[in-house]
Amino acid sequence: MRILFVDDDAPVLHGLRRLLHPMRDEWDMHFAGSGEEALILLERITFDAVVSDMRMPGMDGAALLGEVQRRYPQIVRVVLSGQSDQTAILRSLGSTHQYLAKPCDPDTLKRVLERACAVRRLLADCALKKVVSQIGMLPSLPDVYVALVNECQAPDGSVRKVADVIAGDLAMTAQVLHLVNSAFFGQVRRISDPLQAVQLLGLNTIKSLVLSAQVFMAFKPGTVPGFSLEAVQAHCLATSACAGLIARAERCSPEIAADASGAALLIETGSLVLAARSPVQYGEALRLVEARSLSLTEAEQEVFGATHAEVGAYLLGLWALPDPVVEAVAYHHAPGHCAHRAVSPLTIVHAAESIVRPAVAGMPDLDYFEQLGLADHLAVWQERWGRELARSAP
Amino acid sequence: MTVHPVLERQLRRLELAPDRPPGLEAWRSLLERIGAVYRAADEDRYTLERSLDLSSRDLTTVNEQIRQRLRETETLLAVSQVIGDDVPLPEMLRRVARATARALRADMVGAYMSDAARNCLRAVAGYHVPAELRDSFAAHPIPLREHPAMDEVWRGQRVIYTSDAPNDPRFPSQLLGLRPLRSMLVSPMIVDGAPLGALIAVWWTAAHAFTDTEVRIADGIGRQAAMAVKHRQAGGDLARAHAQTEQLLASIAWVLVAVDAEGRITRWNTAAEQTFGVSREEAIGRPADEVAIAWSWDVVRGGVAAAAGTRLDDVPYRRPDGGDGYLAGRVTGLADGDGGSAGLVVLGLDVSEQRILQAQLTQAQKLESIGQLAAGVAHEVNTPIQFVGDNARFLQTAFEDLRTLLDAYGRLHVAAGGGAVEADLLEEVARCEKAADLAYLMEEVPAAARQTIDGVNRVASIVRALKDFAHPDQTESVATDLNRALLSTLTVARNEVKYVADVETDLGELPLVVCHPGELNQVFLNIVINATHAIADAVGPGGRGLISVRTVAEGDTVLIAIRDTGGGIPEAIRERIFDPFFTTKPVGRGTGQGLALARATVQRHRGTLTFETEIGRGTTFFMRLPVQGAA
Repeated sequence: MRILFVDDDAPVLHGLRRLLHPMRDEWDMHFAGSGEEALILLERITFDAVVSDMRMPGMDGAALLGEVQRRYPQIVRVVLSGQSDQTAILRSLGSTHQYLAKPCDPDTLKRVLERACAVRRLLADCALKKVVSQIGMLPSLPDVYVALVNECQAPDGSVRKVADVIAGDLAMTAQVLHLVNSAFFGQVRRISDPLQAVQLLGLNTIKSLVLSAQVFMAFKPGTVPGFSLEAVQAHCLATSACAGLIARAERCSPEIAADASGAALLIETGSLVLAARSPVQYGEALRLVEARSLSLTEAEQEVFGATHAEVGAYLLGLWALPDPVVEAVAYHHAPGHCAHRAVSPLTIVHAAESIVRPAVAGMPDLDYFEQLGLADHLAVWQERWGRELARSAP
Repeated sequence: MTVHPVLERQLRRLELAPDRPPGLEAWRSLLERIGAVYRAADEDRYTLERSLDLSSRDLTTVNEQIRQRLRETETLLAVSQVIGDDVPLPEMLRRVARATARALRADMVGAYMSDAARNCLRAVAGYHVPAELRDSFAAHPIPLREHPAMDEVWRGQRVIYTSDAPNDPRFPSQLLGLRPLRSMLVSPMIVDGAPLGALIAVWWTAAHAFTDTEVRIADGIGRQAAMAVKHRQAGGDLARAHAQTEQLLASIAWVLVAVDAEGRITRWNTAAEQTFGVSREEAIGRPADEVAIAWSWDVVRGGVAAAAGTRLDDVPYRRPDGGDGYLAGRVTGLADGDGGSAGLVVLGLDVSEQRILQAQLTQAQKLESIGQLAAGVAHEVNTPIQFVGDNARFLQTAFEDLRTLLDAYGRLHVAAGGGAVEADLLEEVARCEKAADLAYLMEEVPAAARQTIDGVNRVASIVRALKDFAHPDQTESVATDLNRALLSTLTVARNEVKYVADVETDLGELPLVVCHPGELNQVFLNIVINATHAIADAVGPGGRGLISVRTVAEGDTVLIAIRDTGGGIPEAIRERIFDPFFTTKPVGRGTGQGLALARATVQRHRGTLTFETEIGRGTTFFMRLPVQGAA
């Protein structure tokens, strides 16, 4: 892995170089004393990650990372800053994958960089990687976006209400989890529950995210024929509810339950990325589903060389969401491809999606449930979900 | 020929004799000068209003109420004076109409009286009645009954109004028999429940937005006019009109105290009774100095010398509950006919609550700058801590590697002493040397140690500067080395400054200055931060400017000049930069208190704070402090 460190304070670079000296066999490290110098190095050398200070004379970190995002979207962008000013951090959220606060211990630094590197393996296609890494924000349903802005401006806005709005929207959930899992906020455990995320960030942070940092944006409907964000959203919410039900039925630990519900909300992240960033190709994939009766994943594979599951997992991985969540999103259509076998959020999400949207080819993966000894549970979950639906139906 | 004193003064200036008619040019010039006099009077009023208007976002409500009260009071006072004028009834009503028009900013006001049979209203006097409408204005009767608007007025005995008369069914188009109009207000004059007349205000085309204050004023004028008309009709009982005025003065929320030429109190209204806890009976006729109110008559009288009336700011007094209170308002000298003094009138309002708000605001400003400072200092500390930690960890692993190598050397030593060094051992030593990357360690370990010490020194100097800057334990004036104080401030502000400007210092030899160092540092910081912002705004992202700090001893004073290469202060706002709450910065970047507090602080030290500025070149702030500074 090739990493570029940028800081205007020379001793910081010296310190990092010495600290990471033992990593020299795995990492090829380069150091630049300014944003301008960094751009010159970037022209000559292909990097995997850039770790930049924020406040620098001349070109500052935000400007540099914005430039990297534009010119070299596939490079992972990390901030390492001594700033304690939250608004500056929120402003850089769109161009930053990870935010680290100085002083940062070496383990965190190594973990973040290694993870970013590992995440890259989720997506083989380099062109697609560029598309995904470039993303600063995801579009939300226009109504939900308006509801969030209103809730943030309401004099009696509450954490609960704001969290409810956010949890109803894939993009907002992903973005709030991105922020709260960024190392800057110093959470020990990674967070996958939107309500908990909003509680940890606080209403004021959410407000500045919405109103001034403008990390959220509204989706323009009708850009992709045959694609309905409402339908995608409804599917995610149903899957999440079903995942919660299964987690309760299996008496899972609260962490697994939260990761499963959170991951289920985000399973369609990749669809949103593809629809928003490559609308023409995505429309083509949807057309193929109809024309040649392919499954959606097959059509995506044919058009993009990857599925929405991989694309979504890649973005969420870059955004440092909890590993079990990324894993569940990555393999939610094909849990058998996941290397480890254990009852995990992936198990629950896959089951939930199979139940919520039956008759999709290859779902559920019965061998997978057989291996986990859960094959006979499927019918129980299905029956409970049926009852749940009947109860909530008017 | 008698001439008004103002005119006479102007005429004298123009070297014109009142009995010799001047030429056209001279008239024009005269009129302009008179205009200037009136404008000056107007500005004077503006100053008074502004003195009461602290225009803070936080204080807006309080101020707005006070301003409205002031307007209300002024108008009602004016009306009560008009009513007391010894003029025929129509002229009195014309003046009432004029006062109403001014208070409501109406296009026209008519004063109507009911006829003897009480069937309809007829115009008696008008103000700003258009010439072509005068006849119809005078001739047109307004029905008193069987008319929706008028019925509502008498039944409710209250003011009614509309902002959209053409679409208001209560107001038929030809109610006044004049041309079409847009907004209208009717204030009834009622005596003993019977309709006596009405004041009708008209806006021809404007959809007038009526405020509560305006409606209250219109109501008050109507009531006063009704009483006055009644008294006139009952034989012009002046004493009762006087009583009416007294009643009015008693009801205003402002303290109104009048003192005659001998210094005896002649007026003492209810607000004065309540504010000072001294009854009217106790006060009237007593020398002002003897009345048991703890306020400084010297301050009040000092203002009177200025004849035209002087603003009173924060005159301290003892509240009846024993606490300290503050009054703001105005003191006006009364002139008798011969140009001598006929005493003075004090109009005041308890502003203690505002003072408390102001103190809170000052505190908020302090907290804001501390917060800003803390963020900057955190950055300045976090950066060295990062590399101190990195280097220390590096030294730790380096030592581990060296220990392994030393162990191998030890075994080599022992083996060499025994005379037999085996190839295995030599190989192991070579392997340890390679693993430790000895050449690298020999180069990096000393550098790492040096940079660690540098980092620790950096943190230490910031912490020291912060302590120097804040002087948390210093509450009195002490002899201070201002050069050192400036250097501490610059260290503390370094994080804000270093990204946009270089700092140049030219510090001359200064005597120790007696001052509150913590307060002055706050001033220095404020000016330096302002300079930084000015430069950042002028050079844009990536640009750099220069801040120069110069000190020099000038006899008994010390001069501190802080210059920036920012964009300069635009002409239009130069006079306002020291005003409290004036700010050009976006919300959140400053309360606008900075320079106002800075000047106040410097003035407390009996110094001056001034500036020179040039558009496109920058601004220099000059602070002159007496060596024997704060008392």
